[in-house]
Amino acid sequence: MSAPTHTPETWGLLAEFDTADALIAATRRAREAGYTKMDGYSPYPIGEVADELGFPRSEIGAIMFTGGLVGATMGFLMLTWVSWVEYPLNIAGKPYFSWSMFIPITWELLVLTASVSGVVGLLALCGLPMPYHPLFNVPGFARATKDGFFLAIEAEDPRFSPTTTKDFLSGLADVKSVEEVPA
Amino acid sequence: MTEHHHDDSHYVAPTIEANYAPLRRVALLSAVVGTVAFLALGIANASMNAAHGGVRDLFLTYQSGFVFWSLVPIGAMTLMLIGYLCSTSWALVFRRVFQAAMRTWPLMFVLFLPVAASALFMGHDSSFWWAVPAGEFARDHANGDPVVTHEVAHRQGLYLNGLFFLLRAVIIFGVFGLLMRAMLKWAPAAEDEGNAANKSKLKGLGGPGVLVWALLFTVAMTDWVMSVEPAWSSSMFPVVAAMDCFLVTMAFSALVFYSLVGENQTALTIVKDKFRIDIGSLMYAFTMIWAYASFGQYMLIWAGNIPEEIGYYRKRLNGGWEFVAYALMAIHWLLPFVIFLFREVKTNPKSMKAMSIMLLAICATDVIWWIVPCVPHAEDTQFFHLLMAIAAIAMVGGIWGLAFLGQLRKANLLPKKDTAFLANWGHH
Repeated sequence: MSAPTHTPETWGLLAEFDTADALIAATRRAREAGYTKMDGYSPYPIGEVADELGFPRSEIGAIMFTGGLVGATMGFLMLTWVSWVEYPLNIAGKPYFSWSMFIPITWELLVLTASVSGVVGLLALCGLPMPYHPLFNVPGFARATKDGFFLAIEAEDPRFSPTTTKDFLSGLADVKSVEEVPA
Repeated sequence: MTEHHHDDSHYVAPTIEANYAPLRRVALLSAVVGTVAFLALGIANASMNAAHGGVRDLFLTYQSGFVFWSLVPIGAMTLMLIGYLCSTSWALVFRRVFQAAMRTWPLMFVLFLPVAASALFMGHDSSFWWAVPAGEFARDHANGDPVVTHEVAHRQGLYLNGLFFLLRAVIIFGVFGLLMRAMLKWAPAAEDEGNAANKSKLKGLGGPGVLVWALLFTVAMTDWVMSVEPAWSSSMFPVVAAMDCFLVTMAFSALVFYSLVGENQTALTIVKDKFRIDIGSLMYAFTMIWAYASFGQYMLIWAGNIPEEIGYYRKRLNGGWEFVAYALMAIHWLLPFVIFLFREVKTNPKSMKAMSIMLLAICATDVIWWIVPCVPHAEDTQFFHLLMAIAAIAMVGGIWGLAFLGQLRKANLLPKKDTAFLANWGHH
């Protein structure tokens, strides 16, 4: 294996904290400093971190609603076509277009397509599957699933600078370490 | 974590300043206008249609007013039991509204007396077909759909007779009254002083209490609503009624609560967006289950198309009542289905008040639609009967509402200790 011929580009900077409160405070400070391209990582969900990161409303609701609407419409049209056009059956003298009998299947297809859109939409919005992520280049990052609380600021952020951002993170209260994340 | 730690045991809820006068004015106006309108319309109808059940219509439309408002204390009791069982946030927010509604239960029994009189003493003017002497019933229902044979009437008479009806009502009022009394007795020490023994008693009451409710509510709705329709029965109907019961209670509580504290920042800081969203989502769920159960009942009866059952829908989808049915589909399901999807509606007290008024109105319409079309009125008088029923709803609601508000203003709107859960939620 040959040695790298150039230093890898930086993906961003990663600061580690020992407690959830320190991470919340750090995220608040970073937001106040004007950083936008950042994320918090913790062993369990912390509502305040999400609040401080200023997550936008998820699009998952709109995706599921659209999926459900399409499924319901298709289901209703399918039953209309089958019972009215393709294979009309006289059942107890009722009209071929007995819409009230179509509702259960329409409903089932609504539920099916809405939930499938939810699963697929969630994976797509999260960018999954993702076999590689630069953060895993940092050896200590595995503690995010055990006892480590991390704040990452990405190089894409307009305010990012390898030196001042590093100084900013190092100056945060209770910070344990600040590491550069190679891309 | 230590510096931000919130100790629930030292929490004391702030005093919530609330102005009850506007709600009182609405209740008073509703009682006066409702009573005048109900009597004027009822007497006009009775004198015009003396031979065609004019007096009976008074009892029938009054019955829809009674049944609609009885859903609030019953729903308050049941939701409170579920609240204790599952430690829910919405039952904490609406705690005082539920408790005040439960305290009106004795008045509800007084308001039930005209319904009992209709079953026991009114003979051919009764709102219950089974209380009408057999010969006269056959005459009045000559153009009705279901064929109630002498045999059917005789067999159902074992259950549907005045004295047994009264006995069942006394049991319903008595047992629900005991459940309410127990909760109201144990609640103050539990929620204002944090008494652990009472808290566990209330939690223990929750499970069995809900079971008792399910059985007796089925009996109540069978007697007070389903039995007005000759020969008709539907095992899905109590589910439909239960969803209206919960929805009416939640909408009424939201309307009262947000009317009192919709601009009160002290209260709104405690009742955060998260809890307001939960309340709206729960109401959304009740409209969905209502639609599911109502449609399921309709579809099965429509598909089966047998004489004992189909009469219920033939009367309610003809003679003008079909427009009420369309309104139910649009306003009881479709509109709330779309509007409640938006979180901004649920967090905004003003839009929740508007939604609650709309849902109360459509649930009242639903109750009227269950009860009033049961006797075949001439087509051109149906609208008149609808107006009578609306007046009855306003009258009973006004009288009951005054008693309810008298109870509600007695205590601070949020419990002293239990509110800690709402106030400190999200901190750790």
